[in-house]
Amino acid sequence: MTLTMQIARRRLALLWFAGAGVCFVILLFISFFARKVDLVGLWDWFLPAVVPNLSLIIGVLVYTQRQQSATDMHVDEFLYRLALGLSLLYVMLLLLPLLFFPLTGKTLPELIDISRLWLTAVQGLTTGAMGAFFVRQDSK
Amino acid sequence: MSCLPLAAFLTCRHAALLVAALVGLAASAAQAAPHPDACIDGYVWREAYPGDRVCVPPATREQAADDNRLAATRREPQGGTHGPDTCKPGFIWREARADDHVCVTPEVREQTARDNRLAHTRRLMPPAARNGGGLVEPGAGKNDSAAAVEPGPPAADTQKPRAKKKMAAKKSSFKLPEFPWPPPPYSTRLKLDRALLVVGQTTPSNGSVAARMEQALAANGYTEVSYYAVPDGFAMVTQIERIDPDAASAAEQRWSTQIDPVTLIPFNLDAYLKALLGKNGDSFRVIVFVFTPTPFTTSSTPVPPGEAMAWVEKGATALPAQLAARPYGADTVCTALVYEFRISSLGAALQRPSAFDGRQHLRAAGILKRLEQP
Repeated sequence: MTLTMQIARRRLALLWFAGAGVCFVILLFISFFARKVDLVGLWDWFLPAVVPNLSLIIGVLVYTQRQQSATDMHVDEFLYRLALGLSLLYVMLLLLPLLFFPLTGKTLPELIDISRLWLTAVQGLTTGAMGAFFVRQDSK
Repeated sequence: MSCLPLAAFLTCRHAALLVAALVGLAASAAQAAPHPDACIDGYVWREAYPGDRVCVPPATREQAADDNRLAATRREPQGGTHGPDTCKPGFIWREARADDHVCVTPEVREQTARDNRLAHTRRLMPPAARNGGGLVEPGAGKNDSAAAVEPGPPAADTQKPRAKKKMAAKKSSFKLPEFPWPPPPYSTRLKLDRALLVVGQTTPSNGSVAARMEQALAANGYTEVSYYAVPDGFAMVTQIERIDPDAASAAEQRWSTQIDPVTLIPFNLDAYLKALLGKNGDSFRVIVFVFTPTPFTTSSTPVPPGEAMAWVEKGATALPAQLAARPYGADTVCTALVYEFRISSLGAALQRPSAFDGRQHLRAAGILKRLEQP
């Protein structure tokens, strides 16, 4: 089965929404049940980390829904794999501090501060690959 | 062709707007930046002479203005041993700076000297920050303000002795770092009875009171104590300690702020969920003893827990000799400010208010009991 643009985009969207959703639920859980937490700091870390890419995905999906020809187009395998691999890495790096901070002996704010370093680097690469895959293919 | 005047008009208008915006920006920037000599709340510039920026209570500033107004009436009309500035009996030179010959009462002169000594503790921006990190010697307020109004550079022959004097003063003294003032909001506080601090001393000094407090602290395991300057006095800060649910010092890991991680093998889901929600934490405490006759409130900004934990590292190890030698005034009050923190896997947070009052904290720490002993 050949990979069409529509399938590729949906897979990427699924990965991003699943990863961001898990983080969202954990943060929501902490927001409701934990006391004496810097909630503003937590959400301030999470939202800029996922909202730009989710907006890009949603925007392109909605826009191309009306253009049937574009969705049946074959994808550039290399670009797709690059975008998928970097997205997977990014989502894992995002989940890492949230899921593993109880096991490290460090506090969540400490880990979040450290994670900004690697997230910033990987987010740049991921957004670039996603943008190239989602937007460039459309302009062909 | 018809566009040209319009374009020119727009350009001029835009340029005017740009200039107005830049002027506004510069004005707001100038407003935002505090004056280097700006005073903390409750203090104003003394202005005993032009350019005198020693921070004093408003009443002292009024006193200085009154003294200036009455200066001529307090001088010997015919002059005397000190020339035309000779004071009438009962008055002496104020000496807010070296050449300040306004005649005042001995009490006012003493107050003026005291204000000069404490000038650095009453400034919004510490001299250390303004001078690039160097500590300034006590009495520098006087020297600083005097230097600020000097019209030009001193003559070459007077420059060397002055520099030598400054060097000597710097060598012989040390300036305490300044404690955030007014103090950040605390969990609870206790005003300590003066009798507990001056037991058996007829003329207590700052040094003797600090030594008694240090002994009481050391007897309870507080071996690291740091000193800070506060307006008209000083503060002692203890290192952060873990406390039990009854506010007593923890028997285990008292000086460690580490949180035990959840073990992966064998995995304990209950412990994991507790840690995820920050319910695995312990309580910690920092005690600040403030010795000052000046009443104080608290600032509106809570201290970040990390900053409070670093107080003991950043403070001085002892009181400077000059400050230690000063008499412990009858109006000096010692207030213990207790900062209680909850540190869990979700971070550290100040507990406000504490579940215990100040007396319970100091009693549980053993400090009160030790101070109650002669």
